[in-house]
Amino acid sequence: MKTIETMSYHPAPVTGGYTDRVLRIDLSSHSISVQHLAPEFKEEYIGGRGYALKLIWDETTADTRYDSPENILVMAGGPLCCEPRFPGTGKFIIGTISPLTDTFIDSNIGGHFSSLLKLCGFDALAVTGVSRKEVILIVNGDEGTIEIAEAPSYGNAVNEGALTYGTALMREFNGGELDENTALVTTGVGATNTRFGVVNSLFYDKRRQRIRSKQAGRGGTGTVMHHKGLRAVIVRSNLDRIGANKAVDDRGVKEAGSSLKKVVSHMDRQQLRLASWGTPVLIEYMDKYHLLPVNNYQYGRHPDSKAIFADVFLDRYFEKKLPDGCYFGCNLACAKGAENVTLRYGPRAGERVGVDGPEYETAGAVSCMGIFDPHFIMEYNWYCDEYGLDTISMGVSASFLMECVQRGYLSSEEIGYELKWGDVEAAHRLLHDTAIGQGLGKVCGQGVHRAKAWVAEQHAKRTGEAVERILTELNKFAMETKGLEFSMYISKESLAQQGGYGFALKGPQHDEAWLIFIDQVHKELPTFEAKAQALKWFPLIRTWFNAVGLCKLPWIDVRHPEAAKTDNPAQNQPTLAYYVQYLNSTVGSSKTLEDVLNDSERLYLLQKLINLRNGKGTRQSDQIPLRAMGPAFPNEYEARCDYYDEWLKEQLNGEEIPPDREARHRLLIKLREEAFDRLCDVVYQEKGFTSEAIPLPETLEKFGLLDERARNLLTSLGVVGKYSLRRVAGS
Amino acid sequence: MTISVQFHGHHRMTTRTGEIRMPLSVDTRVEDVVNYVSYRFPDLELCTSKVLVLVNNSITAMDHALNPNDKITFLPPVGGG
Repeated sequence: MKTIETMSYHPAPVTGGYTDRVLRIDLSSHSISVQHLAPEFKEEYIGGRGYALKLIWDETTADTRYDSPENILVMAGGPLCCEPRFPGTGKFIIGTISPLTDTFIDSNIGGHFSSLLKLCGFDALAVTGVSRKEVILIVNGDEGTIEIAEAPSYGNAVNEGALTYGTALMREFNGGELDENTALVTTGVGATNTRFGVVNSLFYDKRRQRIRSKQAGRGGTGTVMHHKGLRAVIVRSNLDRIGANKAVDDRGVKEAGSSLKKVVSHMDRQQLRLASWGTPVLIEYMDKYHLLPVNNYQYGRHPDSKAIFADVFLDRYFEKKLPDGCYFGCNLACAKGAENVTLRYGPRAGERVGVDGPEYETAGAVSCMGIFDPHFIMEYNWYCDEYGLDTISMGVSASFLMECVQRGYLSSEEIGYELKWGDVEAAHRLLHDTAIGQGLGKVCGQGVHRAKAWVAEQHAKRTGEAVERILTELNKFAMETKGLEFSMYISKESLAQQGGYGFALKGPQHDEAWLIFIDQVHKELPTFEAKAQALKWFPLIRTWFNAVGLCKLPWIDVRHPEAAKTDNPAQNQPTLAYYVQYLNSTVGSSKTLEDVLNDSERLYLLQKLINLRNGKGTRQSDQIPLRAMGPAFPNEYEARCDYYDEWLKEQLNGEEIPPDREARHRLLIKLREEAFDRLCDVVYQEKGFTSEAIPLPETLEKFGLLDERARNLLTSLGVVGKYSLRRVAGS
Repeated sequence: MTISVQFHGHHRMTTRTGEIRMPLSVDTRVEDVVNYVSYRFPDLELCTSKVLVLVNNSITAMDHALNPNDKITFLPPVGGG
């Protein structure tokens, strides 16, 4: 490897979960530096998402776009990542300005990268600038060196794959061997040609004797990394992970970890069985409750869906004798894997590969294209990982185009082939074309928001219809908000989840709030006020997980046996008590759950400020497509007309429902739109926002965020004048 | 007159069936069905700290009296990772 720049350093020791150092790389000048953080930085911004938010708020502007040199690509774990004695500790986030949303995006990702980065002496890596040459970054904590080098080339076939390139690179770095103490992040060819390129987190699994991968899937973080000219980052440290956080109270860490591991071991096998089945177990439940996003979220279930239930993957693909999981010590271990899967399609047809997955979201994305073929799911999973594509955005963008064909907005003649629901060959073709930026794939790779504009223009040229009119129709089924594609749950029948998607600051990804079951099935949120409280509480606690470097699943998908006796079982507070104990024992604090939520609220509001600055923060940006609220077209209404008619009767309190179906459909849509509108009002009030979704000055002031920049922003949005507060005016 | 008990996920695998039907007698309650299913499939653990019991897709009290054609399902807590 040809070195461009190198720096020797002494890795800072970890104390109470932190090193208080950020590794700064400027790729325009190929410079390396170490940013020392003041002690209060971690008090206010916690880690992970918080660090990324603060750096991006301070160092980018409203004009910064994903490809601007000043855009920052931040990779950060948190104070609680790294320790194997607590389950789910391998997480980190990648945060940046997104090519899809033009505002802050972060995506959490498993693996060993952030733990090793911390052992190398850094709480975060922040990359700015754009390199003219493609480079790699090597952080070697064992040798105390940081190096920017020209990205080695291994030939086109290897270079284009995130997995194969990463494997070749790890071997070259380690003298031909794969190694558990080295981890990488890489991108693939998909990041070159699309706006939803992922960053792959690669680590060596010695039991499987291959590289395994996890992905920062959402929002195009890999596209940013590629644009910066950063092909890969290697981190290496031989230091022991057990006790590596140098907790203030090691015994407390051990106790908290042991308590949670007992709950996970005892309860998971009687609840979802994620340890055995992984997240594909959700497919069956989503299908039962009409939540599977079949045919671009038109229908919630399908007669063929049993072909992709979790037991099919368990029987045919998952290697049952090998342990899973994306980090040491996690006994939930839901990251399933399959060995020797033979590819049937695409440029690598005939090869036998190891597949990491599928996760529920990937299977859901395939059902979105109307495909219920488990082998296609395995191939789709592998190719998306290898190309470096987000399986969700890829599936939703492809499904949108399929529906454009279904509804006559695109024709086979324009595309050059038949693109229809359930067609494995067509879906393969579109996937590979998207990765390499060819044909319709070039449009698909721009994501739904930009694809719909292209479709509207094409259709307008062909028919003479007005673009605006066409867009009005396309907007009904273009499943994106803020520019990000929806994740894989139908929200039509859960008003709370409509809010969970609409209000999510990054766009409609469920990691802020997944309220479908407690709203739609458990019926625990019967009023607007109850929904609003949940839409405040869940995003805050979920934000905290993304700030400290933890996986949410051991909390949210394994219910503590005592939770049923609490006022709000879905919050699973008995388990959260272990997390608070783990936090306090590690960093030496004495926080309560309420303190934790307050810490999160500061980060949440900071993200809101970035969204407002970047034009994605007001009520208008929280609006969701019609299909996310109800049956957008008559065929969807007809598919569940008895259910919808019953719903209408309930809403009308015994009044007669209209006799004609079209009128009933129209009325239903009107009621759904009104309900979402009212939900916006109630939620904004609960969050301390104006009716335009802008934080009130006192809301920001409570968290120390009402500085001059924030005040100017509020003024520019008309808030300070309208809600003029004495404290603001006088401060 | 009968009621239907439906199994999903690992319950379906444990019972090796997606559904059983049970005769309904006067005053049969949810708890009676849970007891019967637990007796017939001793490997299932159906206590309320581990699963939610739904009748016609709604969470229902254990002393709720069942009606003909009711559908009972057992749902593990799902929080959406």
